[in-house]
Amino acid sequence: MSSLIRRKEITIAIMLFCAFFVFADRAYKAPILLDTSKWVQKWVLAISAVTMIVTFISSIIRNTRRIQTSLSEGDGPDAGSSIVGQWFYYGTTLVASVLTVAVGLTMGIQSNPYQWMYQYVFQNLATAIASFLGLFYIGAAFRAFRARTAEAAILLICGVTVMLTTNPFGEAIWSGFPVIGSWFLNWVSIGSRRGMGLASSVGTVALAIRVILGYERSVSAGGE
Amino acid sequence: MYGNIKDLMTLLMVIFWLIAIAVFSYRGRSVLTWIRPIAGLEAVDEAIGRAVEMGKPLFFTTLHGSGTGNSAFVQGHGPAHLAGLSVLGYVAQEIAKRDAKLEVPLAWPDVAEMGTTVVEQAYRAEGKRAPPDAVKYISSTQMAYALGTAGLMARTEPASILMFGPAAAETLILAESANKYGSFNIGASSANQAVYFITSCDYVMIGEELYVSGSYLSKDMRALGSIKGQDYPKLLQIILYLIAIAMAFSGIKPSNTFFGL
Repeated sequence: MSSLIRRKEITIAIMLFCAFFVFADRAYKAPILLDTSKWVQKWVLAISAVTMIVTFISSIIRNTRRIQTSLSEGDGPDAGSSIVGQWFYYGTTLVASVLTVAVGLTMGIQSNPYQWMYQYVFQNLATAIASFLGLFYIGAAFRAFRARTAEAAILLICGVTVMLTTNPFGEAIWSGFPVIGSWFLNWVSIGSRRGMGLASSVGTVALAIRVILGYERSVSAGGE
Repeated sequence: MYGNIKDLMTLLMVIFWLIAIAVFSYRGRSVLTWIRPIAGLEAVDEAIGRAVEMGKPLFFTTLHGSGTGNSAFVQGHGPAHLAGLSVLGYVAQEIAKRDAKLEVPLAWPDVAEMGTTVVEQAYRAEGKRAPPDAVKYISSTQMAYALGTAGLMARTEPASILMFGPAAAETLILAESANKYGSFNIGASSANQAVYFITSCDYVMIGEELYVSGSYLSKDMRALGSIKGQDYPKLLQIILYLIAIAMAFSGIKPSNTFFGL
């Protein structure tokens, strides 16, 4: 029975069934197609909610195991592991996860303690990390703008022109900067972005078909 | 009863795609002449070899994308994550073959569960048991995922870092962190974030290259045939676009129903 369920053909049949109804209800508005399509899409939500629970439990187990390993002074199967002595990180994750779920389940997500944790701990941390992006931008731009090759030199010229377009100093220096910069933004940049977007869309459709047909072995082959 | 003509046209186009890819996959070797080498994918073996030689882990992530919640598929990032997981299957099998270390931090619960299965299957194919904590669920919140993964990079100092997936604001944090630790980096992104990979990675794949990665690496004739097969619907689409452009230049407004697929 187990080997029957794990067969590749079963996986492909389920994917074909789901894909057919989700596609077909767009072209033919029959009630059975619409209802089945909605039903399939509800299942996606249900399955994703279940995976959240499964992942939470496995995360708790994994972090507990890692705390044990990091406190074990290098004994056991993880001897020499880079996580030895780093129990603090895994402990923080464990405590934060359990505490958030416990408060959410017992007091509700609209309760003051839960909202406090979300607004004054989580949001602030997330905003602080997002603000690091500015530093990363500077580091990346410095490396990209070193004109060591012809391509880098072109990139440098385009980048500086666009920078002078988007800040008021550029126009004050020379009125031509905004014109050239706008041409880069509206023609070169948008054209290439749309080209890449188009190619990505084409690739997405082809990938979906390959997955449905079972040619992407890692993700669509099922068990056996 | 019938949907609008535009949806019907989309359905017909998808059916044409399906037939073309199925036929070319079935014919496999007989139709396969040449596929353009993709430097980033050719370098995947180099990344694996580096991890083996240095005795340090190979880092693989399918990135985050954007949004919050339980599911990458509900957020619309499913195809890019699937493309990344497809590459993970190949990488995990090669890592298992060579007894190297693998670290797979993932952003979404459903992707993490799929990733666990992919890694387990890859190790099982080599007759080995997958390390229990190779795949790690970090967080489905973007910045928490970015910080968690960057922290993991700092602690493990991986030999190679492969980033294949839907990239968004986390890209630069991860790519710059990867660059800082001197690892061998390969990045693949759908479109807008590729520029960050270009500044920080050794190899970059853009656009459609991400989506063919799994089939390309598998060297499976049916999968490679399917890549060849998808060229013909693409050719048809290009012809349609050229006709629409010619009509627009001639003063005739192209029908959005027909050309706006």
